[in-house]
Amino acid sequence: MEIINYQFDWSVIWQQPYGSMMLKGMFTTVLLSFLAWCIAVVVGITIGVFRVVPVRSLRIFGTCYVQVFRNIPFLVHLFFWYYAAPLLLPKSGQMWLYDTVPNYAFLAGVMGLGTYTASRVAEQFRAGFLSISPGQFRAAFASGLTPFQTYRYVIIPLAFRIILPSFTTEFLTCFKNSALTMTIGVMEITHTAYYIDSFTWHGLETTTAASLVYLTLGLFVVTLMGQVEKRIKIPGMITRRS
Amino acid sequence: MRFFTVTALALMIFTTSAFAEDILEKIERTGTVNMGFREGSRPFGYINSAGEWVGFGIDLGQEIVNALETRFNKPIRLVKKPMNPKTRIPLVVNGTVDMGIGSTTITLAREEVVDFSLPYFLTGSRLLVPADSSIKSFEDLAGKRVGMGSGSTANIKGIDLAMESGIIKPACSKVLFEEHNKGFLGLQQGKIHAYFTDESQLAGMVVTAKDPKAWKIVGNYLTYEPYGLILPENQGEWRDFVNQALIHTIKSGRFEEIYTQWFGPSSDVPLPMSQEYKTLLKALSYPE
Repeated sequence: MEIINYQFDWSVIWQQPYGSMMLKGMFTTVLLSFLAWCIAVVVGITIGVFRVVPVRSLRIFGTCYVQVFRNIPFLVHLFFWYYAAPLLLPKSGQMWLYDTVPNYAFLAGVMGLGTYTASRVAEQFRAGFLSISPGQFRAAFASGLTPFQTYRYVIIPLAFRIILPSFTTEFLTCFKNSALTMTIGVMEITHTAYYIDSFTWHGLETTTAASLVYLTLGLFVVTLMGQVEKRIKIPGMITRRS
Repeated sequence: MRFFTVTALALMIFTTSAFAEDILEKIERTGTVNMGFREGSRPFGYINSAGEWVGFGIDLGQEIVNALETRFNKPIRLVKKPMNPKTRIPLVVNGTVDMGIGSTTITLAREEVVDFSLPYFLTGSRLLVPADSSIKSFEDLAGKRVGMGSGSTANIKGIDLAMESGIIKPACSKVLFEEHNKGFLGLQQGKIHAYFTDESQLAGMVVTAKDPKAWKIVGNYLTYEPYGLILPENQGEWRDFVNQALIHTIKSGRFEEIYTQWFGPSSDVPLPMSQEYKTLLKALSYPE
């Protein structure tokens, strides 16, 4: 009778060459999620507005985007961007793409995560827009604002404040979803943890370190968004009590 | 309470800590043996067009089952379980399977957590490129994009060493794929200039291509890859038994039959046995 023991060796996290791999992985996770989040916010707000504007074609486009992107698993999105999307280009275009983009998997990951998260952000914004009373629209139009100005100066700022808590959740989800890009070979922090495990058999330590990275990033985002919420609060609107 | 939480956590982490019964005794008691095989690695273990799970590894496993039946003089049931390069070591360590038969290179790092049988297969790492490619050897990889499996640690270490020692200069960029099949897709799409892994794997990949003639395997062996059966640590009796069964299979000529069936000239994946491999098998023909 014998118990197979696991000997913890935390030094794999900082020991070379693994230490610099972990740092690089962390940097990749942050950069990829951040770039994807930028795409998600810009595209998400646009699509969210499309979903509610009184222009039928835009509404149809917005609905299609949200339904297609939200109802297909994120993993499939990644395979699409990595394996299928380049095929839409002519052969010479594909070659140019692979030769000029030093890390195509990273680009595919950013595009996949950004456009997928955008569909979720769009739904958040739509919910926000719909919760704003029609009086605000009427008042804005009555004061002579164009539809674009109405959204830019009245509706989006109000809606943004309403959805901020769930918006924060989306931001966190974006960070965590970035781990899936390992399936297309992006060396983000989770992939790095697994990769080091396959050389050292110390996966518990590396995945623990990776978890701590996500936790720290998450806490940072929550604190940051909490500050944003406080900074931009409008008296009279629902805000966090603290 | 705190103590309880810590203990519970420790128990969760050490799922590997199943009390290790002597495997041979367990097989005799239960009349079953659990073996892990590859499902998508042609011809080591794959699902054929008839939907059957077949391959070189499965035939080899059957030989061990036959030896077990002779030893215990009763029928032994073989339970086949799927494994892949990521799960093969954990499945053996936590006792899900008594043996893993795939295409696993024996490495000193792996020896620290599992045991291996004698090496029964010898191949080496080479490159798969399009037939019209200008890449003819590892030197030609300089500055190119090379694909490899993210779980193929032996391969990765080999190419890292080749870059450090200046064989590939300037360095090539490594593109990692989850599975060899995805890597081959990447190669077909032009994402990478060459795919790098064991010749036995490359030969299996080429036959799955639409036009096998459009691909060629180039370069001298960069590393030697001796394959072993994965066995749990501290199971000396079991390992001895497996090694004996292997040696008998080799000496009786049955091993060569199985090899010819899966890698012979008329098989799906023709891979002539190298001179080194033949010598290895001779070295394994221990006298009684």
